[in-house]
Amino acid sequence: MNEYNMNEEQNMPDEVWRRTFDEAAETPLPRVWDAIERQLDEPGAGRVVPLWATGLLRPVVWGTGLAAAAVLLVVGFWLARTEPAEQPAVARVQPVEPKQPLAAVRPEQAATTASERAILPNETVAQWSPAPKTKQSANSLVSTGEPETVAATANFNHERSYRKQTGRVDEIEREFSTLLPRAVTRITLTEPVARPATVLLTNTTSNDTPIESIFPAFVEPEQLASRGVQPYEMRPIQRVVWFGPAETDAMAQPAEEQVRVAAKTKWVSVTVMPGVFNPEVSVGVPTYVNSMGFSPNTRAGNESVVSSRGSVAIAVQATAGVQLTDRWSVESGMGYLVGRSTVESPGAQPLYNFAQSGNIANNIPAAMGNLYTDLLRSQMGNVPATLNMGAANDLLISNTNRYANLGSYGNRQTVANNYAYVQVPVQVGYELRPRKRLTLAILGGLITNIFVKNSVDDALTIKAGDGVYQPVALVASMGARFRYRSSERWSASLAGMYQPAITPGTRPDSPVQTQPTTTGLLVGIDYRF
Amino acid sequence: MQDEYAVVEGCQRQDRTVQRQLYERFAGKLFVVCKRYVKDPDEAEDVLQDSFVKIYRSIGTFRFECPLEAWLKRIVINTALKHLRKQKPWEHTADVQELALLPQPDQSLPMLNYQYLLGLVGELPPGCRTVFNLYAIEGYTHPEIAGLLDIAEGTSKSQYARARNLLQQKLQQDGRPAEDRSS
Repeated sequence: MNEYNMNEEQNMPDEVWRRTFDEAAETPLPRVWDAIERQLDEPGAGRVVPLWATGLLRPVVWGTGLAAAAVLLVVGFWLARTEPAEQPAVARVQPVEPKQPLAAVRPEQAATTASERAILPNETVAQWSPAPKTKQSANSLVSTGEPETVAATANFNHERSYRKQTGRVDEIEREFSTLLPRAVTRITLTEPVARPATVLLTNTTSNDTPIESIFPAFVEPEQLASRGVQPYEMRPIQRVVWFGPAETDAMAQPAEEQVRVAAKTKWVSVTVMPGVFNPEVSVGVPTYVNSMGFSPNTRAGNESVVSSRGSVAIAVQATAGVQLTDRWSVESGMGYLVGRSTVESPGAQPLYNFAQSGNIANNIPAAMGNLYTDLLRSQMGNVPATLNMGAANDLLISNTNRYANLGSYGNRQTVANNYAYVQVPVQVGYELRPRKRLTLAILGGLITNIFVKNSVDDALTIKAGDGVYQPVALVASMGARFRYRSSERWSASLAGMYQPAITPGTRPDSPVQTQPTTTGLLVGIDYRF
Repeated sequence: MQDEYAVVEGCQRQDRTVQRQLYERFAGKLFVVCKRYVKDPDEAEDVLQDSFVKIYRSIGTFRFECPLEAWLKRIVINTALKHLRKQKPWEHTADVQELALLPQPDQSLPMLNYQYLLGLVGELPPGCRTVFNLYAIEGYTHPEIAGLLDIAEGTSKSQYARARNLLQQKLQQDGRPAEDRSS
């Protein structure tokens, strides 16, 4: 029984005031909805406390968390062990007498319930739910004279009384007991309620009543049967039956398939990506080898006579993006990539042997020091004689009419390269965790690499117009990006990116081929509009 | 009613179109609720805005245990009280037992223009206005109001009595029969 109702004179709301205001409506200005919409578009409300400020990085905090997790695991394991193998379900239910308001439950009855509950370690907090599905129940709901309505006030009073008797006064009780406007608490139960789960408070007694006769108004018996509900013999306790009515089509539809109208949020980002740049340099596969000079076995197959190794690279990008839907976004911008690498190439012998030529060109560059550099110079129009002889033991550089007298080259040398590109990325992002403060997106797209220059050992600088490198090359871009939104406007990004070239970096007629690959960890700051 | 389920489910999916439908359907009534508690129109708009943001973010907890409108109204009232609680208009009110002065509800009054009544309520001191709204219009009891506002039960009663007296005085000062202001 509601203590308030017992001890207090019943408040009689002024019907005139109430009726007048109940029917009153005043359309707010459009700016209110605009403000609401803006607020809803924000990723989250409230102040954000950075993780490092909360001490989450301290070992003691981690230790506490691990200890808590361990305790939870132990408790969960214990609970799992103590649960019976088969959960007995309610089979005997004491229905409320017809026309008897639930609010009129006797205090001693509730007290008995409380005492029973007090000795049950595995009890579950019971919630009375008036609307599982389908029609009205005369046994459990109080008719107000209107066939399609019930007085929910009594139900909430019942719950309030029950909770008070059992000493379970908490925030929920406070909400129900104080905030529910009793004058407007009527519930219509003629429409189906599409809820995934419903709780029924049942009072188990020795009165054998078939479950079908107790629940016809709430749920179809086969629904309970499909949930493994079995008759239960004797257990004078209260128990909660959880069951889920069949989902409606609307509920069964995955949320991802729902068409959502998302605001096209725009953002700009500044990112830095330190990583590794490997130009994958190769010199055309030897297609002809005279056994007098070189053994084919030494360069069997398609092994290149030069090789490259990646080294540090750094890319700086400024991008702008737009969120097309909750999950899809597109972004583009401009960046600058500087990548170092080393190339191992056969180095020149101390004494050049141009004996086969018989005609040593006077314009052999003095700086000629290795095959790789020589090939680059030759492509730039400064062809050393050693690369243009086609003598018996020379090596034909594939796709060229140049022959390398590899006998002129000896120990391998390492040549440093510094590449520079202007990058224009176009990427599409797919959010795996949309609308979260910490989002995870899969990125994919193309980067247009505009060649700027390559400095070889600080002695040779090759530019876009020198005929060696492609002025424009395409690079695929793929990766995953975490984005942490620290405020409404600002966020930080961390992404792992893999960017292999999909078109050659050098011209087809170049004896040196490159297919650069960049791998890096992108760090950025984003600002949303 | 079925439409109500669809609206709630749409809001739970954060479907903006459905959210807008919910707003258009209830914003008018709820705005009047805000104005009953908060006199300043701009502040009332703020309360309405905060309320709807709360509604959209917590509609997943709505279990159809009460009518949707009552649930929405409860959130609006909570938000308004939270807004008022910052000002604590009822904190220093004397705990005066004025039960003898409690006027009886004006059951004889015909339906009045809500704007006129809103003006009357708006002229009440904030503490009186809040208690009057909760008691006379929402139907809370004095103990419940005392719990809500963290005041003594006697304070709630005295505030209500004072509100009633002020309203009656105002009606008498206007000197026009209520019927003239009927909507």
